[in-house]
Amino acid sequence: MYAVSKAEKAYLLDTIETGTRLDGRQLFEYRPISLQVGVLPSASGSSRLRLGETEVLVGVKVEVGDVVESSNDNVQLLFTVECSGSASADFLGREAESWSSELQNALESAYRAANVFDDERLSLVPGKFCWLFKVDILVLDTGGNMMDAISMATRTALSTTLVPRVHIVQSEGSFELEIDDNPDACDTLKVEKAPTFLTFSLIGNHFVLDPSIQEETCARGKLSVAVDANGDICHVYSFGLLDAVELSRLLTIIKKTGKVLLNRLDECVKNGESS
Amino acid sequence: MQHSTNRATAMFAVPGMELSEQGNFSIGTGCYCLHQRVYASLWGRVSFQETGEANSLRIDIQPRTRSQRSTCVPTVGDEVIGKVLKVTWRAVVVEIFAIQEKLLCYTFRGVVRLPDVATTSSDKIDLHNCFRPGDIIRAQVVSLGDPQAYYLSTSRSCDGVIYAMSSADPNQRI
Amino acid sequence: MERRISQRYGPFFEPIHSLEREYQRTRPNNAPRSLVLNTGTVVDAAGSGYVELGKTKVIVAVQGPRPPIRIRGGVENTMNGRITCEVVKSSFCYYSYESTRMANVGRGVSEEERLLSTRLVRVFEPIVILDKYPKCSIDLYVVILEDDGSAFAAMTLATSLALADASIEIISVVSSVTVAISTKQEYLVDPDRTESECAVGLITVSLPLHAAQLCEIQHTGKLSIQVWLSAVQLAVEVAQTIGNSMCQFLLQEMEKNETPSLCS
Repeated sequence: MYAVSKAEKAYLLDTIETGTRLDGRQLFEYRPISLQVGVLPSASGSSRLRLGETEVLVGVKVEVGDVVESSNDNVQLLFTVECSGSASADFLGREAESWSSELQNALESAYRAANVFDDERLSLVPGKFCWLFKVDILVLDTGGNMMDAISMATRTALSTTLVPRVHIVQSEGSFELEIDDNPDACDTLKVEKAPTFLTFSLIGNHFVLDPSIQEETCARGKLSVAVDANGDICHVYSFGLLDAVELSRLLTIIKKTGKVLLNRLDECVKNGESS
Repeated sequence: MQHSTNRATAMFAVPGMELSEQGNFSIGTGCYCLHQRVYASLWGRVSFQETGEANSLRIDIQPRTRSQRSTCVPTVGDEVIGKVLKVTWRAVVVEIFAIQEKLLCYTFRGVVRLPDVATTSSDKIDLHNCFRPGDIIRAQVVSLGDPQAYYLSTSRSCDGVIYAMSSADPNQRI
Repeated sequence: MERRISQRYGPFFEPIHSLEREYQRTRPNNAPRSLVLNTGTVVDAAGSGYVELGKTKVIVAVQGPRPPIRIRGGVENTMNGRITCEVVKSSFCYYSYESTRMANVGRGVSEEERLLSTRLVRVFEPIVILDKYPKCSIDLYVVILEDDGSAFAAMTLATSLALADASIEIISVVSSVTVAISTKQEYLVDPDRTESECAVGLITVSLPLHAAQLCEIQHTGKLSIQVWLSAVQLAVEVAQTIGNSMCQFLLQEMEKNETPSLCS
């Protein structure tokens, strides 16, 4: 439990009233993000992202699975969120279950709403087999704002995931899948539609984007919005009493920042640099 | 949501209702202040009482009681009544079942430590002679204590065992 | 939440597109369903509330403030008051055999129930004045008797009634409403199960009586910002009317029981 004394809390509130934050950022500015992809050789796709002090590792494993009844998706996404013990003792044991299932639900809901893997090429045998992407997320260090770090890392890991090419052989009503053994016969996924979360904390009367851990502890409310590249909202998570008027003002900021952030992420992955 | 307040007649309140438009009220139980306005936080009857200062009324809300037991929580300074569960050489463990003669829905754990049993000569007292499991005692809450129990004290003259089983007469004082 | 359920345990005998064609909404788009409120239905609990929103029926019982049953978290946490919640969907509230089987009824808490309970705690944590109840736990027990859409909104209303009935200090009663955005871009207030499943997006809004603030917004589906904002504004207006009805109900209950109180 990150503890903040009353004096520190009062100081934080006063600085935010003036329009800047303790580390010198503006109210709607992200901390420096550094990104590495392909860090796990055994996974189909992986990324490691550092947002300020928060560090997240994501691995994607691609499998072929049976289609879940009554689902029309080409692809099944299974998210698993875990927090390593070295990061924080808060997230061990029973408390961790509710925290991680909330995050998993948020990611699942956002990706389903955004219809990310709409591609026809990804469908295997409709009604029988489909791709199953298992996304394993491990939080290595908690420095505030885990939701954003997780969503950004997931998106970059998925964008560098290599899906092997599969030949479907139909014989006497049953299907056989032959996976190409050639390591170069792979496709990358198109994740332009994947959303990313933007988290705001309500401190005093102001919303701040990308709260650090001190700011999160002093916050009396929180709003996480998942936006995709078009600025459409895919998922909302809120906590605390939020002012209705401020919300509408926030949405324009969300749209703008979301676009900029997603563009930068895609650029970085393409150029192979860290920002 | 606004309701006009008529000071002469009794009024009922719902949590979240605004109780005053002017700023000359002081807060009693069952209400809170936000942005210079007083709002109700309990469902019940509102009462206005004159305080000493001019033009100032104290607002209290008496919660609606459905059953005989109340959902109060012990706070520092409350007079509580409890049953002795366990007596050790340095403390008496008590199950609090009433606050100021009001029966509670749920019982709380309280502990009377040796220094708090009486005001004088705490090292000469043998707790096993003063208390027995099953006695009913009256005590005062001195602090919230630790997560397991509230800290109580029986040092006032009206505190102590008030009902014990071997003799049916209540003893007022140890 | 409702959309996700239909994706997993969808109706097995009626495909969704045919449901949409045959279904006719009998009330105006911005009218909620009939609301039935009641308090004091569970005699043993400190407070209880019962809400019927159309055919959706939810009952909530509050036990507390009482010493916590299970100590959770570190030592620092146990001196603060806290809220716990257990949501149970009754076994007869599922509408098809398959969904009952998949939801693991009777075999412990399903994930959907767990998510609903964390959401309800999230709504009421800023509402209950926990400073007045140190070291205590306020336990909410929710049973969804029938789910015909907008179950979470009904749960929030019932919990507000239960907390008021238990004389637990709260900032305000919370009213809540769901708005569905249909495939024809219409805003349907308080959708029932069919409308929720066919919807493109669902927004549930919970707000206290002084409606300048919102307790919680829950959102499913993909919506542009303008549509989202209009849906939220519509939901806020309707939730205010529901909040007023709830207040009137509570005041009428007080007047009915104008007997001297039993405890001094």
